[in-house]
Amino acid sequence: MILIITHREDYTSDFLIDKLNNKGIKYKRLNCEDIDKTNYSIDNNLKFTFDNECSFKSVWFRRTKLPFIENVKFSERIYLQNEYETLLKNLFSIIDAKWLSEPYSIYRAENKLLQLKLAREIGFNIPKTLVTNSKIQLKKFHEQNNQDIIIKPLGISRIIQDDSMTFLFTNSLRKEHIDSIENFDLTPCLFQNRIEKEVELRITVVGENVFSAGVDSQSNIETQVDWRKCQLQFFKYKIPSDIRNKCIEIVKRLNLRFGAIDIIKDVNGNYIFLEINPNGQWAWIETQTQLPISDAIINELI
Amino acid sequence: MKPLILQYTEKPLVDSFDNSLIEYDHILNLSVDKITKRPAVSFLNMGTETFTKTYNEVSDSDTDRINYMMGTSTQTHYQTEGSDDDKGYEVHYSTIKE
Repeated sequence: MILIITHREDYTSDFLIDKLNNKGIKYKRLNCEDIDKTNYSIDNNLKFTFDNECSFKSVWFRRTKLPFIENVKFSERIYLQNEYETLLKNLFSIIDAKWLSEPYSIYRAENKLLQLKLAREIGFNIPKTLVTNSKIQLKKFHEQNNQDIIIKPLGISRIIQDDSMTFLFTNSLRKEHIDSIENFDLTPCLFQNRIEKEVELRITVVGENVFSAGVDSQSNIETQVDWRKCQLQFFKYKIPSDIRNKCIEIVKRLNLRFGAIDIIKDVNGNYIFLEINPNGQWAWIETQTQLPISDAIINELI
Repeated sequence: MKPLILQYTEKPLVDSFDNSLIEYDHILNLSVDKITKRPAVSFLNMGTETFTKTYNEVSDSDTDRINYMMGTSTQTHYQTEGSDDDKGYEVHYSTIKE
């Protein structure tokens, strides 16, 4: 039996579950926000039972979301939320199964600076990088990189306020901002030299399987710095074997079984590692390229 | 405070989807078209990013928790008057572009 830990709005899980349903492969979907509404227990043998099932051969860890708790004081809500989160963390530790991937490895791997450090150790080219609250250092970095650097979040790419959402993509640092830098505060974020791109790659690693897709982000002015800004068509893209091996290696070094890696091939033919998403998305790539990523994930789980 | 990074916030250019057309199906364990009961992933364009969330690929629930604890988001509020999760699901679905 496969256990899938996620939430209801994880459509990438839907994508895989649709295949599991069609293939008749048994699984349980644990939508974390509904855990208070579904029967669960951990018995004296510290065995987790969920929805009358206790024998899980593998776990696909996708997402978490906490239950919404009503009709209690704010402070009590915080307490109960923390308890639910602690329950989830305990489950991550006590379910004795093959994980794709181990949650604590995923959380560790989500640190972009760690990713860059490991990527460099493995032999990837990485962008010149700066994280600082020093305006002097930032101006110096800007000068050293031909006054052409990008700014991007260190972690989260979206801001939720009331019912609206805004995003923080990768952007070129504007001259007007560096010229008036004294008017701004430097909070945690990444500055890197901007790279002249030939093509951008999304390389999905599942165990030893590598699925490489490319996107011509330079064909659209909106996506030249960040391909996520518009809908673009991805295509299969063959990568050199040493890059393929390095992709497998960084996934292993992070103790993962899955990774969605962003790489730039620059105009000089160099492959430059940007980041790895240890629980990244892939369904749209499979849909557009027919790369059999879901089959590889299912094979990992069964 | 005037954070530099916040000078770069923007709205996505991708189209949104009429979320009221789908609902969560507890038998199939996925979202389906309300009328035909076909799995939503069979007709949604996963490439829109609206559904595949490349904007935010982290796994953790912390950001969700902070937002709704502070009352700044309905993101995880299943507005469950009674036990009608699906009703709240639609509300939620329409407020989040994943």
